[in-house]
Amino acid sequence: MAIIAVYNIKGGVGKTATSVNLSYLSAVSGNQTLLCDLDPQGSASYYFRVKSPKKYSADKFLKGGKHIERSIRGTDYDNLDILPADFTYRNFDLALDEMKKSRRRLRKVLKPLTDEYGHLFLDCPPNITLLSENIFHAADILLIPFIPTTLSLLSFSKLLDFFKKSGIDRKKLLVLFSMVEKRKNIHRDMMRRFKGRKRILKTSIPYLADVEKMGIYRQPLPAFRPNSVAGRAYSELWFELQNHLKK
Amino acid sequence: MLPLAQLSLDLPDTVSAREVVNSLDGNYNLNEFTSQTTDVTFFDSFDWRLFEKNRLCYLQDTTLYLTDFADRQQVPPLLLTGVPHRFWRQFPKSDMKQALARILDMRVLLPHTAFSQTTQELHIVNKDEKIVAIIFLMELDLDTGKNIHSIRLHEVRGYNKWFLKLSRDLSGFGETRPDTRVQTLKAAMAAVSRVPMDYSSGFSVPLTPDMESLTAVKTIYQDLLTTMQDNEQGIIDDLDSEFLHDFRVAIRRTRSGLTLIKDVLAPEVSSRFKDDFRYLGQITGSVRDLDVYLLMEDNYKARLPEYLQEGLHYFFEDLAKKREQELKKLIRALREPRYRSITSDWQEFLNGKDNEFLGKNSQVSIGTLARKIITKRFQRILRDGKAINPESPDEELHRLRIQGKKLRYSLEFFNSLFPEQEMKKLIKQLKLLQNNLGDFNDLSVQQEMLQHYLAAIKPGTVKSKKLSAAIGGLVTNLYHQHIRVRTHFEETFARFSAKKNLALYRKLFD
Repeated sequence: MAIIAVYNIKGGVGKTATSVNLSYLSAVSGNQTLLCDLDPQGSASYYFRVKSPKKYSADKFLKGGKHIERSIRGTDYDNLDILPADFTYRNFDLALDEMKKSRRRLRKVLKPLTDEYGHLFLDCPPNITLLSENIFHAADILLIPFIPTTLSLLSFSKLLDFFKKSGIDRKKLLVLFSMVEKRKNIHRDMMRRFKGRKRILKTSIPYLADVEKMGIYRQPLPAFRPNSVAGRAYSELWFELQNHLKK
Repeated sequence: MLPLAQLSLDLPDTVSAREVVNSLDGNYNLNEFTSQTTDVTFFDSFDWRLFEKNRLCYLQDTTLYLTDFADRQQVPPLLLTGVPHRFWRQFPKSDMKQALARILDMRVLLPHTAFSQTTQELHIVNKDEKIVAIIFLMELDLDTGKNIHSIRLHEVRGYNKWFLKLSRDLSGFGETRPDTRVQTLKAAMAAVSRVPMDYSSGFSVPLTPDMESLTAVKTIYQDLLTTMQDNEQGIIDDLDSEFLHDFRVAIRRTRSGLTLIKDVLAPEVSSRFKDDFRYLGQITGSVRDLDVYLLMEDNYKARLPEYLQEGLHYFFEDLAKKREQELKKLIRALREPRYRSITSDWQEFLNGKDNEFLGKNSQVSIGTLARKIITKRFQRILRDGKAINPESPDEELHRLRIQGKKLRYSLEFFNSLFPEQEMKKLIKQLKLLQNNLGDFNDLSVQQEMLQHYLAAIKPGTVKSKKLSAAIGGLVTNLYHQHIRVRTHFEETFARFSAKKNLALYRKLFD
């Protein structure tokens, strides 16, 4: 059992593509897998053609149990279910703020699901909020897609500081270079600086049109282009991540 | 979380799967896929041990699955090259191996039925082209040339309304029932006029109290003869030890019947077949004796420290060689005219309708006769058992063991004539006594055999030294257990002859 959160303070770094493709690959390898779309934009849900149930909301999510179970949808793929996002998720922080032990709530809500699912992927909204803190506590692995630029580095240092201050185990962190453009000097330089460091994944995901086509096909990339360059990169990423999960 | 709903519906020969699909086509968006064919073989032990525990084992192409009746996997499937291994011991280290070991024990895994299965998948999709239900069109092609068509409907989580609507629309084509894997097995077995669990090593023959004794005993003997015939081929093919075991139990039961149920058959018939079945007991004895030791291998090893265990290895090698020779003799005997004529004469007698060979009890109702026989056996065992004290010689316990067996067979022959729950209680109580006496006897027979074996070892080699040490250690260990078992007899017998048990015998059989 493992909870893998795909997170970054910044938006537009490839979080949704990463969580959709990894949860698909996890399911294909025979693991009962649940993808929780926590981003009120609901992009992951859109990729799987799933809409939020009418009576579902952020409050229901935080109540957990039956309220969550009823809202889980089977995707078009074996072993893979999704908990779709709802637009009310934009109010998560307000709802959390009113609760006791508001930093551990998510962990409590997700715990029962780990009996059913071997792997839980969380597609997280950007920002550092109370919800993000919940995610940090709940996750076994915090996978951070990271575009190799100076600004990204800055936001990553902020995250490390935050972890240190909150006393969260930094070993949970894994950095993934995402949307990499090899022809850009800055990308190459940044990656060279980080190469071989602990908690930096060897696999990187290139910036390619195929990834964007996921929105047209509304399918995980390894499902419709398994042998494309990007499709293979995600497979390698899953392979590498599995080794971390074994630890 | 709720398990996902599944439905299945067998189509009558007059309806094709295509017609069903066409009828859905107007009301639903369908995506059709090309059909795929796989070969499926169901495996179980000869006596259906997996099925008895609600387990199914099947090979689909090259993958072996162990599931429950609803096809939920119990252990990860195992990819195999070639046919499955016969004994659980031969499987590669895996969860599958462990699960099979627990249930199969000493029995081999045998193919029970095989067919090829063609499946076409249909996806029902909504406006967003999202799959909301899955339909499988199935065709089973059996070796007999018969085809079975069925439709399966599987729910997609969160889209239960679609599932309900589709099941209503499909129910027009026949009766729907929960889709379970066991249905496939049953359908395939039915096509060859068989059902799962059509062999069991337990004895159960339905009798009624007012049945004439002659009819009743013939029913009993026929059942036992069928058991013998069912197991014959497995002995000759040497599949596992239990074919011979069941074969011999049927022989022993028949012999006991001929002795215990007196004067139903004419004396000359009884005495001829008593001789014949004694002969069958003799020709099968030595292989079974060796099997018993070979099955004890793990048990014996566990009784010795590791450094003595190597010597035992030679012992078992030796036994396996002997068994090979004895089995050859047995198979030869089973092919001889004498064996053939015993079984065919016995069958002819059981089929015969003439009243020439009858004993004076043949027309007495079996209910009356059964009560008499059981009461007599019970009183005998009480009398002999009470006479045993801590100083009694071993022979008296051995004799009591034989008495116990006779009572047990009588209870089992006539089980169906008396209330089920109370008979269960009696047999359970008797079993406890029999276990004690059986262990006592086994331990003494084994010590004796090992002593002879030890005496016959030619000294002078490293091998003979190791062998002798191991056998010596084993005899010592068995000796101590033998004494322990003996001290438990008095207490076990006291429980057997307790007032409550006596009252129950009186209530049922007086």
